[in-house]
Amino acid sequence: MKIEIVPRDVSHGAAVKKFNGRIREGGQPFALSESARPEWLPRTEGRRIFQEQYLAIDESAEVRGAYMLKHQDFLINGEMKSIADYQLPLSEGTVDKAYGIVGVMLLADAIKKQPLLYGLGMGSYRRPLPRMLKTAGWRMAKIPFYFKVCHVKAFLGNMTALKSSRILRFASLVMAYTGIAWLVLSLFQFASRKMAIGKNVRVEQVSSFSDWADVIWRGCCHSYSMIALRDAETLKILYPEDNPLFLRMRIREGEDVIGWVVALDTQMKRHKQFGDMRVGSIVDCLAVDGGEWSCIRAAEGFLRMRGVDLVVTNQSHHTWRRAVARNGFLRGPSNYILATSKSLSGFLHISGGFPDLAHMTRGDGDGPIHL
Amino acid sequence: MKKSEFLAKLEQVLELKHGAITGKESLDAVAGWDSLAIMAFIAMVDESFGVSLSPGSIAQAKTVEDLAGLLGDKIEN
Repeated sequence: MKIEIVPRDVSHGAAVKKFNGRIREGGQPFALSESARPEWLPRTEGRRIFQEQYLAIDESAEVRGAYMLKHQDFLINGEMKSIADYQLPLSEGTVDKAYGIVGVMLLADAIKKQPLLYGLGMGSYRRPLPRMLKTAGWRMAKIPFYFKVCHVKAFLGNMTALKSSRILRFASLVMAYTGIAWLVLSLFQFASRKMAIGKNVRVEQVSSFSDWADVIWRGCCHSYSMIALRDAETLKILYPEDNPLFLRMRIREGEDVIGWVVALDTQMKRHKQFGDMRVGSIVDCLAVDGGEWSCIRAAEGFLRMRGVDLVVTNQSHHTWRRAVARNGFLRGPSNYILATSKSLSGFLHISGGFPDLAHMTRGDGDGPIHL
Repeated sequence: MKKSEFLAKLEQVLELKHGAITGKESLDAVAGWDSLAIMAFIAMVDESFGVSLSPGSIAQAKTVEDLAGLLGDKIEN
């Protein structure tokens, strides 16, 4: 079998459609976009954050697999480097054993193009991609997941994990309707809160990022061993003004801007984990050193005022993890995995604490999906 | 390394019983020969033989014999 991996262009449209048809027929829930141009981060002149898609083509010009690279500048141990996120690999090998080699070829090709690679998300260590990355010697870690319940009845009635057994379901309903659950959760979340609320901290909802975000970036970027460039220009690309879903918050303490938070307020519908809850997600954030707690507190209050049932976030860096824990967030099971290639792991000088010193959030993943 | 030892290592990669692979099989017929197994095979060959196989060369292999052939004189018949 001869497979060539080439950049995707408009000439591949018919072959992509046939590929999608074959893998859907084989039971694969994912498919390639119909558009040859990446819809989220297309490559444009002068832009250093962009996606590129590559296709695995066989000798009969059929598509047998694909992957995407999201190129982005990261500050790693004080040095700005362009690295890439290995995204959405899809192989016909998942539905036809004859193409088992394609997944391996995609990964090898990506590493050849950009040795400093990472993968983010992926669901569970048991899934094929994380297992393959681990076999290839990538370093793996889960980015911790935190949640804070705002409406106890909605939480207990919707969390899929609580519906897994009749006893749990019955117990949660009894607790919800007698008020016991509210009391227990409130005490638990209150006990976790370690600091007083700063009275002069306030949220300003803004439509975009500008110079003030650059000041935050310059002031704190060296506190992290690995962090994606989060200056105003990059944030305007990631969280564009014309996307009304993103809630952009500028956090002030007195007159000083101490940080920013990007969040989503999503009404779920039959979501596999959150049922029909209204979920506030703290997608991304950055703060001056020491401002993390106030930023999380302010963002959570903002989302609570909007009426969300639950606030969730994934945070890797120890200061942000401490900030969410001290705000009464509880830690839940995480399905958000960070994997780093051998070259990137070496460059990071990863030791036991990985990823405690890296600032990785939902904002560093596949884009405004799964949120 | 003797060919029988190579086959035993391949069986370990594929989590098959000892003796399950004779060497004549078509790779299509080998249970568990999927992308994960291929990646594990590449890692095993790198570790045991110090040979870095490219996925492209494995794509050309149709049988277990062909896989052994990729290692040239590192495997004694």
